[in-house]
Amino acid sequence: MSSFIHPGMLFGLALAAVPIIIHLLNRRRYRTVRWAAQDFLRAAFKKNQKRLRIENLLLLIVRTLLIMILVLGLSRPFLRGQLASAIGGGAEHHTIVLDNSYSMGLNEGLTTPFARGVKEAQKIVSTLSREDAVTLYLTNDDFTGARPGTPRAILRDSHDMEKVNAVLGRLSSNRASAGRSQLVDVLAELADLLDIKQPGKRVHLITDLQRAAWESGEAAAPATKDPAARNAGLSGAERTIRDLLSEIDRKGAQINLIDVGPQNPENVAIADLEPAEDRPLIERNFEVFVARVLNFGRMPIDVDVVFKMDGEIKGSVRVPLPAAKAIGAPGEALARFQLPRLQAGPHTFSAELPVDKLPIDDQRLFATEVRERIRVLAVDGDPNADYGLSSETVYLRNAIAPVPDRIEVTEVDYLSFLTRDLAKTDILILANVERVREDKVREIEDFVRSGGALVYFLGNRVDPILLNRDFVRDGDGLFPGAILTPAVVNQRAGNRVKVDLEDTSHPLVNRVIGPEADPEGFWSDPPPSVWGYYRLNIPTDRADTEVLLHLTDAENSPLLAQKEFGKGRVLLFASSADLDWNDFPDVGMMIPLLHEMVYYLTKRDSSAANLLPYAAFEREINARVEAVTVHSPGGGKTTVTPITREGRRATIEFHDTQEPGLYRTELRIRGSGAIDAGTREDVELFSVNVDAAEGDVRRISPGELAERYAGIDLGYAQTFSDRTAAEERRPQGEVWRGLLFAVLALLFIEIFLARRFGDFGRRIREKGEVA
Amino acid sequence: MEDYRKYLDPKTLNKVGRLDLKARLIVEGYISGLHKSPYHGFSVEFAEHREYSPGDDIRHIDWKVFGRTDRYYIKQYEEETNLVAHLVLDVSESMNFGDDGVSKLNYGQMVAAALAYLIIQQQDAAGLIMFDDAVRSNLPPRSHGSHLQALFHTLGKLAPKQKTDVGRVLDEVAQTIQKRCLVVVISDLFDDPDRVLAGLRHLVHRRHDVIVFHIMDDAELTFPFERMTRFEGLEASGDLVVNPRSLRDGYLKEVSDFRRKIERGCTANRIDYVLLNTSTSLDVALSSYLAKRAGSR
Repeated sequence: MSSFIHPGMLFGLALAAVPIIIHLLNRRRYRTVRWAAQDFLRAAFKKNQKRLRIENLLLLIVRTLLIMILVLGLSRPFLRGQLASAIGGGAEHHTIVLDNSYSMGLNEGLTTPFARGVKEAQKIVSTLSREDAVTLYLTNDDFTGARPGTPRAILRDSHDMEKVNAVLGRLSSNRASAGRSQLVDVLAELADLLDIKQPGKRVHLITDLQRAAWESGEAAAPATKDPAARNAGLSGAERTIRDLLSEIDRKGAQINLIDVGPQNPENVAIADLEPAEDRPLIERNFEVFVARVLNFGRMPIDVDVVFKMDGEIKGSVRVPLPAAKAIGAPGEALARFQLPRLQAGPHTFSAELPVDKLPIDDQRLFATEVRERIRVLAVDGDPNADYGLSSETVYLRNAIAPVPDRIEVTEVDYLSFLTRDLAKTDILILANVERVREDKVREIEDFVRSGGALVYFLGNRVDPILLNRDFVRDGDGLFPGAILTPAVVNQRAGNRVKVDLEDTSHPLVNRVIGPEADPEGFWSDPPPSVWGYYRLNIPTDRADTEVLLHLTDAENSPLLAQKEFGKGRVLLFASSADLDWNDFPDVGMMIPLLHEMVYYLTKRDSSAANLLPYAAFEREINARVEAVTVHSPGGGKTTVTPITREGRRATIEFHDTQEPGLYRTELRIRGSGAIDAGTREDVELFSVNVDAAEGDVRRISPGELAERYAGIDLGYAQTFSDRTAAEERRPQGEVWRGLLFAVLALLFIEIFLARRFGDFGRRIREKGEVA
Repeated sequence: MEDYRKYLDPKTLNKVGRLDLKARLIVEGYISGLHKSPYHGFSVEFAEHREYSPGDDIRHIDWKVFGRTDRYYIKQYEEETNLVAHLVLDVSESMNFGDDGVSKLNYGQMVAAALAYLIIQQQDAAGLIMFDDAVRSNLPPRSHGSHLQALFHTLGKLAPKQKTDVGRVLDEVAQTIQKRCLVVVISDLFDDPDRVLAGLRHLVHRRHDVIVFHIMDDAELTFPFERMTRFEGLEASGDLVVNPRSLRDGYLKEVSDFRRKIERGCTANRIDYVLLNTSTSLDVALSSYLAKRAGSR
């Protein structure tokens, strides 16, 4: 199969008739000579008639061919497929990388960059034949359900152009996605997969040239300068776009940038919406929400940010937005709004902007559960009913919840703890509990893993051996580290060990004794003394363990250590909760410390309920959950089957989060026993918000790209044309050189034959003879 | 002295209308270029004196008379014709071809006229036979000066129409001429070469000296045509439309074969063969004649 770069030139093939016409005209147009030596002429004619005819025919054929091949050559044919491979061309492999990030959905009247991009892809495919192969990538996770780890290409090495067209047709009826451009990842996969030996590779990057996307890879530039080492074992994220492009280039692929970007990129987006305070939302509190608004346009603008709760407008705030510069940070402003008293239960908060060209990022949702109160279960390992004040947990209770309003503390002894269900508890405090029965340890592990918190205060009654066995379990257990030997400080000798208050880097500590929380250094003078503690062995090489507070003893022993366990946290306090081993309660530091500890431990990561598009929604569920239905913002309804893994609680996973908006999860829960018969439904909410960074529609200029990627053969065009493609094809399928050689060869043959057949050059000889 | 030599160019000469004038111009032009007067064909018997005129051989000046009279006198001897020449001119239609303004017939005419002039000037006898497929006119040889006019007159009234039959005519001529003589054949010889040679041989057989002036047009020798051409055959030989370029080689080969055959035949029979291109200078014919004349003496 072949095509032509200048098909119009083919009309010139009519010129092939010229030699025939000249021949015929010559036959008709002759001059007449009265001739005497007719006998000789006749004799010569008779002898040569046959030869003459053949010679004439041969010359005619050569001349006609000459013109035909010349015209063919001028029309610049290029071959494809097997024919092309026969002459060293070969089938081509086209990789189309179509940017479908949401910035491609910028509304430009009747069209969007994405729609134009799909058209460009269709144009490319229209020039291909069955011998060619097409791989189609979307720079964002595609909507056909590709999961992380699975190939991103929605088509790979497809020779079926009808299928490719069908896919593109389906794309054209879609909008751009809600995700970010994963250009680096796609290029990384391409750079890895491209076969250096395969000829005729073309990579078409159809994109809006969003600066953010092109710079995201550069920001992650690794320190190493050695390109070989850089390319060796690094993942896509660690390689720069420059590296990847040059690798693709080096592998022999022709890279074409097709710029379908908007003429006038402008956009205002809400980047974040969060409660101002970093703590859980609790009923009856007033909450201030902060919306971060970004302006990516070149003009300053005032926008009204409308705040809503559960879809109901609560008010609006006007914020002036400065203009964004061409490069660097966008114009940014914060809109603060106080929401009235909250009711317990699932709520959605939203901030909205007036609709602009890119509406997808004009709304931001925040879904969360407003709690009635925080429930603390304190287990007293050394109860003393007679003397309230000597109870291990009395200080705790008083410190945490002086008024049982928003935090509710329940004190139990070890035996009643064994019968309690942890489901209704947010924080479990074990104070000087000697040991915990093994099955209960498993239950606590599940509890913490699913987001609960455990605080363990040591003391004189604890059995370090059993605790190490059950709670450390060689690092897999709940404790951040093993309990070593107890240390007792003789306080009379005056060598008291105090809490090291110098290091306030941890947020929890910082909130109690940090410069902001304690500007006058109230808690640090005098620092609490500790005279009894266990030495802890907290590994420093683990990411999930951390020491929050140290002691001023010789070893600088840890006093308070933390471990992230599943979704929850564990705090291990090396000393006692009461005055037995320290004077925390006396100094009064216990109150702010515990108070902040409670908020710190119960602050649910709102990211679980506020996802980016395509992120999986995962949640552990109770065994009694019979069915889970997820209602998508578009009105879709999906029934999700819980996944039960051995030794774990069941989880649900929901992946179809490509659509930004509010998702509602309905959990149908079976009743437990006679009292709680029948089933009930729990409703939970989670939101999906786009990544506002993608809304940064500022573009990188082609000139800048050329400069940045100097040395890489990077074609740039605003539209794909068959012609340019054909010209790129030249080294593969173009045959004009061959045709030129054929023309030259024919020319020589013609001259030779004409000379030989007495048709040319005779005159010169004859003239010489006459002279 | 007037430069007569230019009159040896057939093209220039062709512009001269009168044949007698042409003949004189040729001969005078030719002679003025020679160092020696050709008029030395004199017999030994003295007849009378004549006043010297330029071109006379000074050997014949009678110095005794000069001593007496201070004038140059040439000794003239009794006229004795020792050469009878028959000019046999082909006047067939094929001779009428001339690509360059001078047809073969014109040329032949001039050659015949010049030769006749020269011959009669030399006191020899010249006769004229004109033929095509048969002898059309036959002027017997005479050596009178007045005979020259008759010759020119006969040469002047030509109307070539017929085909050639050289062989037969030469046979006829051979039979007609009884006395041994010089036969000058002026023709394009467009006939079967075997027959032509047979005729010539017949002449030789009758002990005649024979010179063949083979007159060919330049175009016939070089075939210079380029464009598609229709060749209308003279002598009713039909038409032929050909691309001359492609046929040139074949044609030239035919012509050259023909010529070579004639020439070889002539040489074998001690016949002088002179190819005359119509564009070649006319003195060639005269030189050939004179050489032959000298040889035959």
